[in-house]
Amino acid sequence: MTTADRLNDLITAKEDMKSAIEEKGVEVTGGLTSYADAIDSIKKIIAVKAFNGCSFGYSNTTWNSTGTQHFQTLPIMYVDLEAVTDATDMFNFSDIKELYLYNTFNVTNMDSMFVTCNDLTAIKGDFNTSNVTNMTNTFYNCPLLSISLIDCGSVDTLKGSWTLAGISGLKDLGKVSNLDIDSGVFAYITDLTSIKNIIDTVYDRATAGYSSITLYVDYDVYNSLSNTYINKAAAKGWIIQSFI
Amino acid sequence: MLDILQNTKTDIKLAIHNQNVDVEGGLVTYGDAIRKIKNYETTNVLPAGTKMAYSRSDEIFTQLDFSNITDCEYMFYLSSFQNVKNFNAKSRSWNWAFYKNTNLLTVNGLNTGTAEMAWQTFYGCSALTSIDVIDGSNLIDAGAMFYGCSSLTDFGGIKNLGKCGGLYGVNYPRVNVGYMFNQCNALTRESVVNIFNNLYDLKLVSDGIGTAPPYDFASETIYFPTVVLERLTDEDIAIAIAKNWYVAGSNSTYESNKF
Repeated sequence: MTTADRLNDLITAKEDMKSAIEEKGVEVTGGLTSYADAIDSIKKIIAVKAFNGCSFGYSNTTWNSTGTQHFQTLPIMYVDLEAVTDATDMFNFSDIKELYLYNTFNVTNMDSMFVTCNDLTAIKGDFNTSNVTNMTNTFYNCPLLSISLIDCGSVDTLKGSWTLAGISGLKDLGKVSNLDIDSGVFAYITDLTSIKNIIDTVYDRATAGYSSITLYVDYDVYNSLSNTYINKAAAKGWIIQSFI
Repeated sequence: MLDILQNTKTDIKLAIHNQNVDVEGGLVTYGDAIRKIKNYETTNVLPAGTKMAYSRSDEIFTQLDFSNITDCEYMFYLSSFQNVKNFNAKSRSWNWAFYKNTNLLTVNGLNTGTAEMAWQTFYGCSALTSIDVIDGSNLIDAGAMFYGCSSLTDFGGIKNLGKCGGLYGVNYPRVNVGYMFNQCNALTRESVVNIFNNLYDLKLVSDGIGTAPPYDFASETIYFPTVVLERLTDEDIAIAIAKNWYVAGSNSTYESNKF
């Protein structure tokens, strides 16, 4: 190996380290000699351990009727779900603004997981939904929440309704051939882009030879959807109709 | 120059190691090692402000540490776990803390030493059978605390109930015990005697109204369902009366209209 090769390796390693440190949320401004300090400053978020059957939160929509407001509120919460398979009703927090979730990969049931989190704007951390089979009412009454593309390839039950500000897509929804889905589950999502994202990312059931699924969407969203999108959905085995 | 590079490499390796990631290879492996650093840690200590309404698991009390919780109001509203054990929150308010947990069976080790308000704490816990002695030294409002605990048989009593009070003003009762045991028809004689034995002796305090001892002693009346009073002897009731606590029957049909 020549000196030039060694130098190139060193530069590559340096750039890789810099990227890795920045992926951990630490800005790197100095040279290689500053990297140790940068690594030392990687923050440790403290996440609360969750387990099956525990639920965080309350709904103050009823409780405010006392006329007093002496609850403490948690605007942000950090939760580790490594021990959780059933996250039913886990968050029912009308005042929570942001949730950082870690190790959600074991969760199979997200029934009503974020029910009435009506101030929630973001789910951060590592929101892995690849093993989730039940997404019934998962995002019920979450009108401020925007979520990134989530993996729905294992979902076999999707009932109730979701209310979201935005979604980047539902990867492989419908991959389970006998998906049990309420046709109006997305009828209260009023963001046109989100519905387009859903159509773009759902599973191609037509090619797989599965039965088609009807989805009702918001009246205004339906009227704004071009025939191109409605036809695109139909070609994948998803029939889009207007929810009155 | 080489020395500086070597020292820098050692520093970076140590920094990665301090983040609990082992570094085996050369500098080119450090990037991946940094990516393995966990930027979160798991704790069982709940942050102040956490509420756990609708919880279903007894594990809450063995897995989580509530010592930072300073407000138990609505803490376990409409939950469905069965047993409370060693709940170590330090809260002034326990209002509605276990409201309508119809699966709740036993309560042990409740840290109520700082509790001032306990309005409807166990309201509607219709399956609750036993509670060990709890500390009421600072309680000023225990109204409807056990309302509707119709299966409650074994109760250790409320230590020093009546010791604290008067925060509403001297012309008001020392502690609100209205509707406290309504519909608690299963309370045994032994439980009620436990309650009497743990009452604070109101002859030790003044109500601020009278002119001079012994006329200005505070007094209170505590109510039980008639069917429970029928289980008591005159000697039992004398325990309470000796502390200026009067005992009366109540079949009040007060209902919570809050929810």
